Amino acid sequence: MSRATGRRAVVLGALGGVAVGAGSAVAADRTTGRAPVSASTPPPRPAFFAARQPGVEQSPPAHACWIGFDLTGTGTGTREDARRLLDLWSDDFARMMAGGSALTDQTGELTDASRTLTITVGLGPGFCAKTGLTAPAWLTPLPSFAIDRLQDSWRQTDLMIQIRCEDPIVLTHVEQQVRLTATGTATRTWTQRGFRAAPREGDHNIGRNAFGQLDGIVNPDPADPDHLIWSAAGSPGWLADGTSLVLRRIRMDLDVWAGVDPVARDNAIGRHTSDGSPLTGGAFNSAPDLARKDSVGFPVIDAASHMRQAMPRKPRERILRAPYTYSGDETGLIFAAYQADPTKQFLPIQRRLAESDLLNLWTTPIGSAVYAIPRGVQRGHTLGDAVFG
Amino acid sequence: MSNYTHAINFRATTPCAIAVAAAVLLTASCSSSDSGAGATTTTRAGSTSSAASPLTFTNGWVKATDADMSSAFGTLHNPTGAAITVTGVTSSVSGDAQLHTTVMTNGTMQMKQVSSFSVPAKGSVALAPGGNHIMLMKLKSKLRAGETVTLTLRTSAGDLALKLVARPFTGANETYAPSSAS
Repeated sequence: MSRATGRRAVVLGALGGVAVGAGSAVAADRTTGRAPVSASTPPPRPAFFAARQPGVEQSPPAHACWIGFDLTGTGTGTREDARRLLDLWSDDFARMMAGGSALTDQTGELTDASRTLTITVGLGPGFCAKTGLTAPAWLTPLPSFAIDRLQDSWRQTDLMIQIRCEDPIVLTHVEQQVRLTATGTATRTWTQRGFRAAPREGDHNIGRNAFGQLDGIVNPDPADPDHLIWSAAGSPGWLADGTSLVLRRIRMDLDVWAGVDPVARDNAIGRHTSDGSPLTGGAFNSAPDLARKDSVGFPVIDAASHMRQAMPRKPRERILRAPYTYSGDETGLIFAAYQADPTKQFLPIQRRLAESDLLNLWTTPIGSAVYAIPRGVQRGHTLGDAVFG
Repeated sequence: MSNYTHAINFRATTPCAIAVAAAVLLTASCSSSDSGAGATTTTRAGSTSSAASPLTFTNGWVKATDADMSSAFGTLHNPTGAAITVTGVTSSVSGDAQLHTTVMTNGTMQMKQVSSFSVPAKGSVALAPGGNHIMLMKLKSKLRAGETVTLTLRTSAGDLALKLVARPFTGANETYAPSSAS
């Protein structure tokens, strides 16, 4: 990669990390430190009816959940069944994102007062196969990597619903409603629930993961002038102004990590854990000096450091990351990345990381799925219209 | 025989100045908790109203089911200055569609058929689980999720045609037990 490209990516990433959610004053609060415009002017809610689906451009709120579904039907009629489900979900999602409740909801108290709720639909390869929908060439599970220890419980599914919200109780309620409406048409295969770090002074509004690292420093320009995130003239048409989600569940071995000394930790990532700055100096958003050697001739930024391996080698090897942490019986990262074409943008990065990334000593991918995020829904229309025309 | 019995819990509703022309004790729920604020109903998943009756019907839906009975819900609005009475209901999917209310009888919620609903001038009547609703019995086929069901409400001011979408719902699990009055 050229130095210019790298620098641009870093600078844009720094901007991107702070301005993705410009539409929401709550988000702005989290991401820029700016106060809301005024207490009497509530921030606008993310729009359900828009050219692009919600839940990608907005700054990631504190909580998120992904639900993997498989269509129950397989034969003729599956397309119409799927369309009816998308239409029912449309009505639910529009009402809930507007601060209301789904028609069948009897717990009308649990509406989204945080004004951050987004609900996003993703389609897996199985959805296209079962419904006869034309799929993009990239809509296929990722190739297997030597580092993978994928578990069937986190496998690729036909459908995926992503819910993000500041309020975890509302998120739980929306999750339940999403499942209820799918009854009879799609069965839930898994639910992945994640959370992000609370804002901390000095963290530049970039969340820390469970290893303590600032995670998501470099992200593309949210204005997306190069169509890194959103498909341009879509092929197929339902993907114009659509994108893709790569969802990887990555277990993190906190017990072993606890014994890794600070120097080794910083060396593994290529940055200072304290402030996110590259080991070659500067601020969190400074470009790293990949060529610099130490006094004995070794690269200051290790050849196998996560940052060096993850940096784009080509201008299009950039992705929008919005990772969340999961924790329970074990702890890890729900790695969520959005890009127009995962094969051209995500895969080259992942190949390098699978081949050589010091962090692999303490991290293990246990789940992997790829989804197409169809275009948004025009007012007066439905998700079924957006997908099937 | 007993009346239809609701398996769902009683939900207290706010008594409104709405008279339902039935010789039973009941409360009708106000429509002020309409949850669809800001989300207009759509052509595929909404409600329609006919020009024949000035009544309108919003936030309508019917319970999807594989069984032989279901219920329909929504809110009736009367924009006129005079009360309008709903006197009956028919549906192509149902061999026997009825107007029902739900009452507390001896500590349990029971459904009773009523002869009419009165929608007051400039007022509304909510049809909701645990309250007034439309019963669709003797269903001719199962109601699949997302399927559109057509109903016609007979009213004192003309017919009101409704297109309601069937939705999965875990409540409203009425057991069918015809009363001697039906």
